[in-house]
Amino acid sequence: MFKDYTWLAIGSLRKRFLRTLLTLIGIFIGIASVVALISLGQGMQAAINQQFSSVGTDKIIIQGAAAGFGPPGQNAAGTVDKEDLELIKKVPGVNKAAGRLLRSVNLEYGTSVIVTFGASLPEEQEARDLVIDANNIKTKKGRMLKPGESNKILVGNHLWTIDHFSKDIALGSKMLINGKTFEVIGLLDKIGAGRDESIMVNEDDMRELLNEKDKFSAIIVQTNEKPAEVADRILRVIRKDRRQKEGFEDVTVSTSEDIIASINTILGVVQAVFIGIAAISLLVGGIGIMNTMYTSVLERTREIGIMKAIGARNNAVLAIFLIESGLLGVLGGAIGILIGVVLSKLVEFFGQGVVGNVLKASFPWYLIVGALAFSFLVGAVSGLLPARQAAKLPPVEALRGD
Amino acid sequence: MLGIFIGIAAVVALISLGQGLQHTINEQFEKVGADKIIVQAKEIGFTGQFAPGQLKEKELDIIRKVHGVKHTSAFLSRSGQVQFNNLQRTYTLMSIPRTKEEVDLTNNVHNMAAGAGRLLTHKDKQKSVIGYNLGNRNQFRKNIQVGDKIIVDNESFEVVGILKRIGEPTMDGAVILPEEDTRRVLKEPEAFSMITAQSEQGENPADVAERIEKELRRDRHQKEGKEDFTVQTSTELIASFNTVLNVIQVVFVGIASISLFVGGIGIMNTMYTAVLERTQEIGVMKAIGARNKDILLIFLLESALLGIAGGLIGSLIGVGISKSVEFGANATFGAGTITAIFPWYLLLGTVLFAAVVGMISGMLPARRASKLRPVDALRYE
Repeated sequence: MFKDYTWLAIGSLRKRFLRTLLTLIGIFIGIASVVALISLGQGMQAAINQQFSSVGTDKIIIQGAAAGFGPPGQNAAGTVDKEDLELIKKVPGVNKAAGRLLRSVNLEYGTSVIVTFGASLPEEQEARDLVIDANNIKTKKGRMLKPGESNKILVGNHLWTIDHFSKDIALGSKMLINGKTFEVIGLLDKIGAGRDESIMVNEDDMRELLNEKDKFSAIIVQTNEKPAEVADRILRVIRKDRRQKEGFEDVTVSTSEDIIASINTILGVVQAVFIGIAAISLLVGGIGIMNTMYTSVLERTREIGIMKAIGARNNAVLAIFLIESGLLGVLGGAIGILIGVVLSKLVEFFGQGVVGNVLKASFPWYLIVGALAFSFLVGAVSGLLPARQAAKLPPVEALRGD
Repeated sequence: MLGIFIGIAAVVALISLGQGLQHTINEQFEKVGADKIIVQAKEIGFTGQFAPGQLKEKELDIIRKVHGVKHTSAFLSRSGQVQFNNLQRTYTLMSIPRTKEEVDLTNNVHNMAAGAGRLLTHKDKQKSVIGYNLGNRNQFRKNIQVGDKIIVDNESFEVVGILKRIGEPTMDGAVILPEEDTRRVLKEPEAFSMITAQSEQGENPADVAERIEKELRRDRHQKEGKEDFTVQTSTELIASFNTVLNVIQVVFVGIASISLFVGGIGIMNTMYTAVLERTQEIGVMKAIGARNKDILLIFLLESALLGIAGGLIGSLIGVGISKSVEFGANATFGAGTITAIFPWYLLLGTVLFAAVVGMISGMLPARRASKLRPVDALRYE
């Protein structure tokens, strides 16, 4: 029975090929743009989450409280220092802890000077491993810095792969940091999220360069227990040490989960706005289906009359038209998904050069299935009114209808 | 037609809001004036705290003496901890300079105006002016009033004024203090975050900016292209802002115009159906002497009318949408957040555009209608 209805619907769609095609275009443009935007948005979210998951959910970050955004430790009201690091190491649940010093530095090479981010690597092996592990630092060429080495520098990926300087940076090149000579011993692989623009030196070198005895920009902690609880304990210890009341701290302690959650909130809002605007075209496409179906009902008034005269019930007529409009939707959806996939792959391909590898298109199965189901729904809903109109036609009038 | 006007409404709403936003920002810049030059140290971050090429009193002196510079002002801004109502929050502290001319220039550059009480003068000590949010947004579970005391780094400051809303989050959440007090609470004896110079009337700000750059370069023994500071005129700042805004607008309007395109295809569909329905009619018209051109015109006009009607209704709905967004935004974020503007060319343009979309969509169906052979058309079912 259902099969017959489907064939009837397909037949009528094929008979009006041009109109079907135009209606389909309307739907598939809408679906394509929605699919493309969702897949890019999801892909970006996945890429960012992945970067953070390489950090691991067992990390806690302690830094000075700051108004607004900015790099860690910059523009902060409070500071953290070596003494805090020692305190934090003793908090139960803290497995490893490391301090980092991050500052803007002058980097001179060849005839060019840029201001970029300088980051320190701890001198102590265990702490250094934590930093390297949490930031996913890998050398592409050369080797990692060893503790105790001085006047040696690791260069971030963008600095040596993108033309920042008048000549190429190679292993053994000499660069000036704030006027002091350093030898390049390692060229880093991509890390992502802005950190590819930075250089890394050992902590002692960094302290000497900046004339900074014991401050850190941030302290990173790895824990074996529940991060939220350990974070709470750390904050309490710092509060006690500084004789600050609850709510009057000048540092913030956040777990990596907190950070991921706040980034996801922002991404979610951006995605919702884009998809909202794209969904308008889907609505317009749905109206196109409705239009086509109304016309189709009008055209086939007589056919409906005959069907009813030879015994078709209202339900059957309703089903035939609903299947027809649903098919329009599904077909449009399928083509739309294909186009959307191609579109976002193209954006990914051309965009990566500009934005970096955060831009990734991802197509989870639920996006594909969801888009198909949604387009069927759009088709069926748009067809509902016309189909009801068809189903309710009195056979006599329908037969007489011109 | 429903399709067309939804598309048009979306485009109109987005353009008018985008234009409104741009207008508001440009207006703020205009108040700042095109004669301002901004000097900052290059840094990853914004405060100058850890910049390698920090700006200090010495740089301010150099800039003051550059030919063509009328006034200068400099401020220090950085995060600080503010206590009120037994609660502590982190805000941006900002300093007000020590002479009257400098204070006037700073107020001008930041668009500062007192919404309650007064602004700080160069004579004030242990006094503070607070940003709009601190006085109106219950940030300490209640609003700070003029005359209240706030505590910044264990020092007490009397609030003498609350700023009018500026619309920029940093300034609306700022705590403004006299320079000496700011330096003391922030423990920053000499660095500035930004130096602003006003060029003399009749001087080209770009030339003055270049002179400032040259002088600073000479003082620091830096070659061109190797500076650790930037010098920008306010015009350059506006231009860079507008570029960003334009890109955002283009993306939004681009996505919205997809629905316009879909709407156009809807018109095409409707017109094809109309041609089919009226095949006999066309046959009759042709039989009594209508030429191909006449038929083409009839159908083109019909589709253009569809477009225009859709465009008109769409523009109306679009205006409605952006007015309600404006109303909603202003109710939530305070007056003057965004003003939707509808220049005449936007409205005229969209209606014309809708007509064109209608005509183009109608082109193919109309041609098919005009090419029908009268005999076949008359015979058609």
